[in-house]
Amino acid sequence: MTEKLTRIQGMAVPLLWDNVDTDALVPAAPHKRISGGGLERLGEILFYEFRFNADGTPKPDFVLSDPRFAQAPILIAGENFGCGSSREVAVWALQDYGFRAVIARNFADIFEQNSYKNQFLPAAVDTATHARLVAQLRRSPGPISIDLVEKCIRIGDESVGVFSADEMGLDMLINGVDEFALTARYAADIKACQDRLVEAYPWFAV
Amino acid sequence: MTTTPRTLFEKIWGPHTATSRSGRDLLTLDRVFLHDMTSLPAFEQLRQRNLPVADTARTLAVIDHTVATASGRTEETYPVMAPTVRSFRREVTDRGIQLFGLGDPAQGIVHVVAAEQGAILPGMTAVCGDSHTCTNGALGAIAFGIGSTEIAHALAYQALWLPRPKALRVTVDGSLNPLVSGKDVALAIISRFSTDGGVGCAVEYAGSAIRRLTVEERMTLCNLSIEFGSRIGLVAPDDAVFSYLEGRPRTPKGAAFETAVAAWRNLASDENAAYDKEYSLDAGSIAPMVTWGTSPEDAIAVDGSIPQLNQARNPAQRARWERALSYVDLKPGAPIAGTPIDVAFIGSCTNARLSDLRAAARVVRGGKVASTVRALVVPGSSSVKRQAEAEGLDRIFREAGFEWHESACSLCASLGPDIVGRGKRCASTSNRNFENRQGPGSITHLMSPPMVAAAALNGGIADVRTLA
Ligand code: SF4
Repeated sequence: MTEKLTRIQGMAVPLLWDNVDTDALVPAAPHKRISGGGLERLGEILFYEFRFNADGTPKPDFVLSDPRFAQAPILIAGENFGCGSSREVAVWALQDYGFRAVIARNFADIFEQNSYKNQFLPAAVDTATHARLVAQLRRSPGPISIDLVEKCIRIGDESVGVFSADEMGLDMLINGVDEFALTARYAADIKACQDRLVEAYPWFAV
Repeated sequence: MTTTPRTLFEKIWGPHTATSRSGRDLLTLDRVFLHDMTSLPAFEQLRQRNLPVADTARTLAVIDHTVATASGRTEETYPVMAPTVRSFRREVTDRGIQLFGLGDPAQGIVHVVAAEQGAILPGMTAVCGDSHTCTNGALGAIAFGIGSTEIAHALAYQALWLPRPKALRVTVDGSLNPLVSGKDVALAIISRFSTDGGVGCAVEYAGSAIRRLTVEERMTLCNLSIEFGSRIGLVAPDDAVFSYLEGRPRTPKGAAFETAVAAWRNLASDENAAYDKEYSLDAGSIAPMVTWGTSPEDAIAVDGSIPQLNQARNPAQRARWERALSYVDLKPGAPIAGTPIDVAFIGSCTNARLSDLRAAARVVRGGKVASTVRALVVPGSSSVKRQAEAEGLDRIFREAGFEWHESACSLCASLGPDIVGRGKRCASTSNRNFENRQGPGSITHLMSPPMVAAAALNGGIADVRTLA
């Protein structure tokens, strides 16, 4: 059984860009250089082109270089987070860096599904909640907490608003459901469905 | 008894649903396509779970993402990724999965090869670890990109748990103007309805202009569905699709083909089928398009100007435009035509099929690539390359000063050795103009193959209509 994710608490890094794409999260060049496209040191190359200059020195004005956010488990972005390539390394790099959740206005479909597979929360909030959260953090930067069971985002004891996530995805995070084990229980349904299709359309089989 | 009218999408998704639970459908998959970039973590997961590949015959693998394209290339030509490619080849061949590797006459970019092989047919569901898997929705199939864990799951169970997407229809009626193609239609749709206009949706393209598109143009259009936020894009299959498929290696033969075609004819949305969302566009209003910024939605007519910042729909978009303009080093309000380019790329699963190469060659014929431009053609598959050579297209390109490459993804995603170069500006037939997409510091302007050809000859972004 996978680890259960019911509550995430800590600093939230505001990176309020729209359309943060997965090439931005894990750019090809450092990914190839560091691990031949593999899975090592992914946290180091997260947002590589925005964090580092061409000579490899850090860019001090990028928000992740701010020492206040060194251990932050939450990233706050704008609209359409995770668009672009299907690369799951985008989620793995966020996790390896230390993030457990992204709060955004909405998520690209593939990134959202990739998140649920990795006990990583894509929390979608409406415009008003987003604005409230950003404004409050701007006034007094500090930790926030995300309660997955209540689907609620809080600063201290005060609720800032609710987030939405897909029902089964959230259930997998909260209960640590192993999707593979779950699917194995439905093997007969899959087989029956495939058999029906092949009977109607023999060319579906090879 | 009256039955509820169904959309094309529902006619495929419904019968593929094995069961439903907590708002998700367990969708059975007819085909799984694999390539060298995203598959290794999936095989690793299968190994850890001690799970076999459920049905190797329904699976097909290619080597395309991370390899070199120079003539004479091998798996070793790009040492950085050679170990990855080697491991991938071993993983698939050990499991008995058919592989189109380097040197195979049918090798090419996965989505191009899948269609050429007839490995994906109308009414099927297919997945691949590449977001542009939606390309072959053009054949009337549900095809979509997935992550590596999903690849492992798909290989193990031939199924995936998915929320059922909303049905979106984009209708394009009317006639396209000369030199306006499927690429321009797609960029026009994305710029008009934004890059997340189709998030959570399966988009069906319909209307008289779509029906008149060639099958390969529909592939370009469906390919760009993901840039519109839709993981799935599809077009109802018709005679053009059936004749495209006839005689391909994995297509049913003889009487079986006729039976299949009869079934495929039912794959059209019923009249009065309900959609969750509808957009429409007039084909006559679409000009050759080009992107100025760092999102596919930053597309304008080639004779248009970069927007002024006060035209942004909200402060977030304004901020994004400011960042984009600073990255691409262009000014608001400036005309896009005349912007000098350094590289011209005709390639990728978006626009490197035979008809794309023909369309570009018509513009190139007799001309010369500007001395300041590196121009290259990277055919979508080895088979496209051979056919183009048989027609003499390679000679037209070479004589004009284009490089003529072996097939792979190349500059589309810069996962192999091909990169544009820092601060260099590329006119590209690919699908993403994201920052650094074509290599660190690269600047990308998306456009159709004839438009890239025009830019190559002109040395800068040019209106192909005034050149031709
Ligand atoms: S050409 Fe580009 S989009 Fe197409 S499969 Fe290759 S990397 Fe993916």
